[in-house]
Amino acid sequence: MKRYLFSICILTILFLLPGCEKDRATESAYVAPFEIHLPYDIFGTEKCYSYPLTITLTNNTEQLSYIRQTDLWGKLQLSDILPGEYTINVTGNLTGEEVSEITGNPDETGSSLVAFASNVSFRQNKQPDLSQLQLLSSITNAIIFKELYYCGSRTPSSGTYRNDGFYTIYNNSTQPVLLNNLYIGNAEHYGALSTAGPLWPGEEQGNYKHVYARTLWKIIAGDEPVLLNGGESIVIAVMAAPHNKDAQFNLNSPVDLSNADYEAYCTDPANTYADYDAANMRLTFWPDYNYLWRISVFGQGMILVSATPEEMENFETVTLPETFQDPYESEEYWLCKKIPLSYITDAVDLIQNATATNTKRFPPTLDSGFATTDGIYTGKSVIRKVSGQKGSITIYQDTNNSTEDFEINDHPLSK
Amino acid sequence: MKKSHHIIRYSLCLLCLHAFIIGTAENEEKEFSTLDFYKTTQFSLSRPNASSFASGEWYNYSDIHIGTNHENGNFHRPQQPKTATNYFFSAEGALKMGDYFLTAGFNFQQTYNKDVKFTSILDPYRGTPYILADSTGGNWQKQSYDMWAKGATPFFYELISFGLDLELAVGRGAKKVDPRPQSNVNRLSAAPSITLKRDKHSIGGYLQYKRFQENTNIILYNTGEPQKMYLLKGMGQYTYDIFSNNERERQYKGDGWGYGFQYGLNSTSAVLNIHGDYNNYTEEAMDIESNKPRKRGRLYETSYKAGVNLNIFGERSTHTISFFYRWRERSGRELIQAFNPSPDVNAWETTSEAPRRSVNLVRNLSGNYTLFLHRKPANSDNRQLHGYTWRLDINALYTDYSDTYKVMKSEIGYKQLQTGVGLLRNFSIGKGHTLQFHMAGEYRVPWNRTFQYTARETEDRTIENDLVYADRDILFKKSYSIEVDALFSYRLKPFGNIYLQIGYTTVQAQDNLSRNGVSARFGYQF
Repeated sequence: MKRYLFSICILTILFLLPGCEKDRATESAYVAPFEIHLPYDIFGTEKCYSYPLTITLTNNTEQLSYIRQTDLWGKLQLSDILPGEYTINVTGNLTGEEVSEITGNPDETGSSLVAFASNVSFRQNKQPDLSQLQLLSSITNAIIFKELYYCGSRTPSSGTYRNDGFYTIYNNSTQPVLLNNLYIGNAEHYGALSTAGPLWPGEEQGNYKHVYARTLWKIIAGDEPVLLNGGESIVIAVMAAPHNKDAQFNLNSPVDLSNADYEAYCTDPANTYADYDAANMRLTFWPDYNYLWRISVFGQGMILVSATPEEMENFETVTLPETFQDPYESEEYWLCKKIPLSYITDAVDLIQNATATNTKRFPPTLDSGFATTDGIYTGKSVIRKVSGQKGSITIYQDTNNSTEDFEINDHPLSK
Repeated sequence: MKKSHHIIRYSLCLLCLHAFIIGTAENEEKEFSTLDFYKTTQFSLSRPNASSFASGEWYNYSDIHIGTNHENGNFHRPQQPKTATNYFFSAEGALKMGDYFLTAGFNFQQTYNKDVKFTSILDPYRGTPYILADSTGGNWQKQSYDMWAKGATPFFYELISFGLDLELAVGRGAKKVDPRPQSNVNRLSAAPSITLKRDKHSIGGYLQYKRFQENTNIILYNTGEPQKMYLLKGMGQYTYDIFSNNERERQYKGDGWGYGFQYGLNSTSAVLNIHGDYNNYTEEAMDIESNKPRKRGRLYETSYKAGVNLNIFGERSTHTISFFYRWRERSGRELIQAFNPSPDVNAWETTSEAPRRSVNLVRNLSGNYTLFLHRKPANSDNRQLHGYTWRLDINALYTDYSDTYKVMKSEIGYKQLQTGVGLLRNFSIGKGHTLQFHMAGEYRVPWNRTFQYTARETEDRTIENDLVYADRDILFKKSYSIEVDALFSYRLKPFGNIYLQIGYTTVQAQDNLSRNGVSARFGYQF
């Protein structure tokens, strides 16, 4: 009898030993219903807006976007939203009358409203913290990027080609603007394609006070004053070559850049690339200089900086903290120019696709959205939408939200 | 890993040598089909409870064979190859050393799979919903090595025996088109067990631990040609990455516990076994992005099994009847991670988890009946091991299948019945030589089919059309299969049999879909 009792004990232990791990469901698979309320000054609290605000919630984890409109009080009830890491983008407009009510000064044109929040965690059965989502009235400048072509093109043999990049800069006003203190460059892009980049010391995620530039070119190399009239543009080529006219380049390229106004060429005995007819810009900053200035075909943040040579000289050169560095890269690779936001004339956050919004590098005050060609080597560019005419001058949309301002252009340089 | 290979290979060689010396004399008079009869009727061979060896019949044998299979056709699921060719080597043996029982085996397989789509891992049907899939597809070359050993003690004090079941399987595979995955897999399991015996009754239990690991490194030779990688997560849902670096990696790590019991009743004319099993397994999938691990999801697998086996031994016939029920659920919990770029962390952190996103539930009920007709009448003990002249198999399998991803309103479900009949005839052609013919047919019919799918992307319909709809179309089709094979065994004068087996299989489905296969095997059994 003892033997059996002993054996039964052993068997019982065998059955009870392993604990089982189960995937137990929570109450709901969605985020708890919540409300977004976006007031701006008296609007949304004391008075209602004339137009609803548009809110885009991008779930970077799921690569899904929800586009919703608020009511005229700036309120939106949300339910059945999937959890994940979100980027929230808000756009809206104030009429001239509404601006006048706020400022007390007459205003005819009105203003754009933007808000942006990144890395907002939406959890199951919990309400998200949206305290960082605040509406801003956007800043507009005369000098803007009109068109950016960076994604490269296919060769006739289905190879890839990316020497045909260009950037068009436009005077979006009726007055001429001096270009002599204007610089073009690209921001750092140290994060992976699907990863938010590193957090620079002293900065707050999603709310940077500086832009960290890896490359800067002074557009006008000489000291002679150069004016850009209202409604006029200049084309800056990576290589001012007849890309689609000569088989040594790429006959499938969408562009012939032999008529470009400026070129990113460096006079350097070691540079084996040809110097084409376009005026050469002056290289100001590019620590890991590599002759041909090509940004990633997936896109990077592009900036126009307005600063005197002295101011540019005084901008601090900083290196990415060692924690973030990849030891396979040279030390120069991690050097950046730290530029205060007040010097940025225009900025466009170019990202891989509409769901990679967590890779944005610019704060909402510079660009609360992004532009993307949504593909690489497609031979397409991004171009600003036209918002209207002022006399004979075409005015392009500039709300500081590139998602709204830009569209894909199937035929670069055609507009 | 290499060391364990060597140990198992040496053990196997010793085992074969031992069986060669001891076992051959015992098996000299046995018919060629005895081994098949033994394996079919010995319920304990297929269970992790090795300690039950001591309560059943024992047969010393060795079987070494090489062979090849080839199949081709358009009736296959999207992640299965259109053409598959295998070359294999297998060696296994069993012997009784004194009062102790030992059986072990080694299998090697080299596989060439053509036109495999939507997978960058070795086996996309192994159960995880978190499959990394490239968009190019291509031809895979795979190798696998499986080693197993089971041992049992005699019944001490005529009461208790102990057993141990060990398995180790390693595999690797690669595809030679960008993006090029190179996958390495290893899995091992260990199951100690005990059985208690009292007269004709026995009761036993085992505890099983298993672990699994797969590493897939994906290399892009042409970085100028970025590739879209789909990160599947169940029922056609996915996110994607554009892969343009030199290399990326995905890792799967899992482990789990299981246990089971069985009750046995042994008499001279019948053997009854009742068993129940429980298994629990969890596996995590993570990507290594820029040297930083990013967890994607966790698979939870739970299964319950219960079954009954009954062998009835007559003078010239043996009946084997079995019923089996299985409930298995695989649930995918998504791990939502955000990159923390602060210098103190600089890594992916889990911000929340979304349980039961992908739920795959399968319920099976099966019934099998096998009749052996023997040439020689049995002696006083009807349970003696001997060959047979006829074998008739009748089987039916009912499946209730569902795969859901509720938050995206995607699901597929069906019920299915597979019924089959097989007939095998052994002809003795003198001097112990045997000619064997076997024919089997199976009919599969699904019903109660439900399907709903929400596409992830409007501009890229690849997964929707080529994976989700294509898989549905295959699963929802009726089909039948016919299998014929012939075997010739030649008894060698000293001992043992060499044999050659060739076979042909065809599967025909609705809409003129079909799949045909041929196989050949040459071996030595002693």
